[in-house]
Amino acid sequence: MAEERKPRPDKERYNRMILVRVLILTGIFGFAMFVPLSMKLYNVAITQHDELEQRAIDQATSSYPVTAGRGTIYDRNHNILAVSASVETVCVSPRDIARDKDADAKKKIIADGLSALLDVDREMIVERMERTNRANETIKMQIERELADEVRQFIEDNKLTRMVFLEPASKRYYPNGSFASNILGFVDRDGKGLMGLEAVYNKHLAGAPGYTVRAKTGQGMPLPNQYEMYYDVLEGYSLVLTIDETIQHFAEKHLETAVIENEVAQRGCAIVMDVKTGGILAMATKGDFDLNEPREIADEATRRWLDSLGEELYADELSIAQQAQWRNKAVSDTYEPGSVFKIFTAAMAIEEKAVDIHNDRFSCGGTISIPGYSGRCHKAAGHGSQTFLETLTHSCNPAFVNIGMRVGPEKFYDYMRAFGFMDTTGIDLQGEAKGIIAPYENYSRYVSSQAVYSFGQTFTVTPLQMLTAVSAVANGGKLMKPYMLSQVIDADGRVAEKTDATLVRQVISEDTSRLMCEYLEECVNQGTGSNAYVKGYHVAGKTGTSQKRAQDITGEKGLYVVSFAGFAPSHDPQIAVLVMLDEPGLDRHLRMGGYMAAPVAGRIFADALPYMNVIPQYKPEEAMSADVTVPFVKRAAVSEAEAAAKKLGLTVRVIGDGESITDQLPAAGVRVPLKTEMILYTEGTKPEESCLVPDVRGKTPGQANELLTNAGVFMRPIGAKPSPDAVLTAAWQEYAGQEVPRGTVISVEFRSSNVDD
Amino acid sequence: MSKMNEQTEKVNIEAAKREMNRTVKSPMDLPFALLVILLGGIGLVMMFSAGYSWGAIKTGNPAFFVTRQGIFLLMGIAVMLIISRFDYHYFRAFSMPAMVIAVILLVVVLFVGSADKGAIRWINFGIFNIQPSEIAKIAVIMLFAAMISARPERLSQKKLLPALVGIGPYICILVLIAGLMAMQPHFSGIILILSVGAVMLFMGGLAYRWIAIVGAAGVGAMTVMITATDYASNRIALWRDPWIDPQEGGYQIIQSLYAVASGGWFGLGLGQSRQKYSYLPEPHNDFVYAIVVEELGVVGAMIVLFLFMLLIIRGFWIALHARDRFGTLLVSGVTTLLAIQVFLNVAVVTNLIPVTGISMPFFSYGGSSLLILMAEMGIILSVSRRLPAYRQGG
Repeated sequence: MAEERKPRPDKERYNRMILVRVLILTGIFGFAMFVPLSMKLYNVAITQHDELEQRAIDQATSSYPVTAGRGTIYDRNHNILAVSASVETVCVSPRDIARDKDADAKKKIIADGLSALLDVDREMIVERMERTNRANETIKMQIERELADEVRQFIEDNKLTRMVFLEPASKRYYPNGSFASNILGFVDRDGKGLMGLEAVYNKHLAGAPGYTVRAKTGQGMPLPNQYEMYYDVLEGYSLVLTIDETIQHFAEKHLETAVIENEVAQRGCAIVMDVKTGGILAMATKGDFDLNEPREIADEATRRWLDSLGEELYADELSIAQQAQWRNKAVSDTYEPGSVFKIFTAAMAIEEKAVDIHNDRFSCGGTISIPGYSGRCHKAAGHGSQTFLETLTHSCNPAFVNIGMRVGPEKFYDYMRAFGFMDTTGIDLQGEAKGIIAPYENYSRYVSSQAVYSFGQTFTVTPLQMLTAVSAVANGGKLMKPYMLSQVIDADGRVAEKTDATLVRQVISEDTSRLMCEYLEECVNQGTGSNAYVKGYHVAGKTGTSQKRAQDITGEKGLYVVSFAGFAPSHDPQIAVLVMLDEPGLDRHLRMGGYMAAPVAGRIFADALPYMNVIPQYKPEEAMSADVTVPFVKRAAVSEAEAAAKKLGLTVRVIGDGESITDQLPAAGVRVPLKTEMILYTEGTKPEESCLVPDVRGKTPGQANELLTNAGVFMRPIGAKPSPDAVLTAAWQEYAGQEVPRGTVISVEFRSSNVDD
Repeated sequence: MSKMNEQTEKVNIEAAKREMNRTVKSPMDLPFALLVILLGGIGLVMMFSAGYSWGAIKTGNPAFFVTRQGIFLLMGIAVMLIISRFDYHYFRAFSMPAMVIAVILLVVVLFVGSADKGAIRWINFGIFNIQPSEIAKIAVIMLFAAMISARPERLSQKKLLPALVGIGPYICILVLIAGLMAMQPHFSGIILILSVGAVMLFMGGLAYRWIAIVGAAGVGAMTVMITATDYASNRIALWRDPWIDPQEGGYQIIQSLYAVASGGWFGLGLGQSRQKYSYLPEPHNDFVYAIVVEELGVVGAMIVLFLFMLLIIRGFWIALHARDRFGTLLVSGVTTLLAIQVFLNVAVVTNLIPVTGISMPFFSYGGSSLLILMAEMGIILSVSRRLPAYRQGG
């Protein structure tokens, strides 16, 4: 019994075996297997937490950009020059289309509907819809409100929500087309500034987009009870330029006329600057381009030439032509200033007292002969003995060689630097160049360089450098930094930034400046600048003509740059104007700054100064021919009418035997020159028939007046004033060959061709 | 002497009877039962969260999955309690029919089964679906337990030939079942069956030398299977870097990793999962544990694993203390089956191993598998009710 109660040996072995093996299994499945699981869990959930969770969040959120409206560009009077408008972009979601039950039917509806609505290629839509892993394929960009509404209706009618959708976008409009195109610049497809001020101030204009971040499910639906976050949009700032739309318009109009009239091959530019601040009131380049279609070649001849090219050349040449038309000539091109530069040679000579302005005489025998250089004066016979002022009004090269030598190379070079010709002006525009001026060692080594530099040849400047320096001469010797941006205003109209006029340096004294203003006015009154003359506005300035050496070594082609730089009124300079025409055509003898560029500047002055409310101040001899306003004399007694007219300086012719005036010519309120003959009718009214305006171009003032008076219209002469030693001819007139009502006042511009510089 | 012997014998018999009565009346193992119910409860709560979005999308009712799972959990608890009251020795008699039914179902499923991601695994019984492989697993456990406990000496042979004879039938059964499963194909099921079968043989006293050989052979076969087939090697590549195919093959594991990684230490909070919103496919199924980590964090997820750990250890404790060899084998098998499923599921969800379709006990959605799982727990409890008296409550 006792043995039986003992555990059997195999029972004991069995128990031990079970114990050991259960313990092994417990070790494996109760403990060991949890070790790798815990480690891996830690690795994924803790170590990789940040990275993978971010990816999870990225996939579970969509951010909807809220685009910032691009700021507006205004002129100084808040006229709009460039503005953005909301448009919409039509997109399809191929992924959502593919998921639809009737995917094929929907595809057909979409392709047919959108191609018809949006006028896009049906094949393109079909092809885009094949990209079924994409959720956003653009079909058409920048459609306007009305069309967008039609698309919305189309989506609703055909239940295409999420398959076709519209995204907000913005489009840049330039209300004035080609106006100020070379300075405003334009934007690319995405609304980023690509050229001009649009590019320079892109950051200001662009603002910063906002975002709405929204959690969504894997099917794109909003997550219940989940967050939405908003990042505020920062609307783009608007720019207020120093540009004055009206003055820019004057400059463009007159420049364009000149470029066409003078058959200018390499475009021309005109700049109008506020003398006292350096602010740019106008900066025009012609030919230009349409800002709304910047990639179209505006110049017809170039376009025809491009079309004639083969395909392989076309793309490259198109790109070159585009770059060329986008180029802002006023800051990016350089030219030899020629005689305009004599302003500075004269100014530095006065400042340095290198000349005695009252007593020194400068003789000119028609030739220059110094070691290493021989040249001629434009007046072959020579100017003879001249006062200092006369050297300037004659624009006499031999005299200026002399004056330059008196200043001395070191000072001369320093003044060139001081007037800003060695540096860019720092204007807030793209692509500003600076002229090529010889290093001092090279310049000073040769007397010949020193000689030709003093009348502005063999070095180059940009038009902007030149006008900035001319403004310094006019502005009491203060060189200002030119600028385009006046103010930055935020979306609420508050001023965020403001440009203050920046004085770069005082170059010459106020006394010298005052003297130069007088002298330069004389250059216009009786010198080579006479065609820039504007009655009552005291225009001062200097002309320049320079041969394009690089392209025309022999001078046979007659490639010239003609220019004029000046300011007005000379006693209190307000604006400075530069006009530069690159490679004008016409008769070679007329390719002169005084003949081609000065009248353009004159017209700009004539338009801009009255617009700026600068009050004309007539000199005694000008007052004799100043314009007067025709009085209202109808129903007055004949004697009273005659008295009123004569009091104003008009002459009178009475037609008929009545006792009181029944009609008058010109009509009341019209501005006419003094001594104009008023016609007073005492019986009936003035003849109603119109009259043909004869073409008086090429005629002298006397001949022209006679022709026009006989034709029944009045002449109003503008341009160069009559002087004993200049022959004036009509160069431009209104309404030539057209029918106008009797008594119309016709402006005729007279030009002196005796303006050789 | 003899009278005394008789008396003693009488006493012994009565003692034995008393002992027997005591064991039969004894309560089930309370810690184990409570762990099962606790895990079931946590699983149900997680089902509410994880199945919310998918239920809304698929059925329009966000509570669809949790409702059904809840009903099945209650039914499962009832089934568990009923089975726990059976004398587990009935399973010995039931084991052979169960195996026959399992094999029949495994054959039938190949003809009438419904496909799920390219494999035919389900038989539709109208109101519920059933996976024959689920039946096969428990059938293998019961049959092996019965066979081993009937002829234990057959497995402990140390000589080659007797050992082969002894182990032969078991191998044949495993090959038959695995072969049928391979035709579905049901890779993870094969791994489970073979692992559980091996553990049964191990607990049956198979000599260590044969275990080493069988183990080596098994690992070798597995390696060949993995590397030789394109299907498997593709999975290996995706396992190493799911981002090589983020839209198709790697999509599910990437989304799972996003969920797990989003959890961090303390999770996004119950109900706050992002990944369940149509990013992680079928978040209530095999990948529900990823949602557990995402919402409850590593801490919560480790607590769940700790509960499983306790359950598994308690299971082996019951196996150790079972009244007889049959009970020990039965409990070891079921506990091992549960443990391997937990391991494989968590390993898949965290990309520790290549993706294979294995559900998480108590957590993954599925009526029939939950019922079968609870029935298995019932078997363990049934054994726990009949422990020898001196081992009660320990």
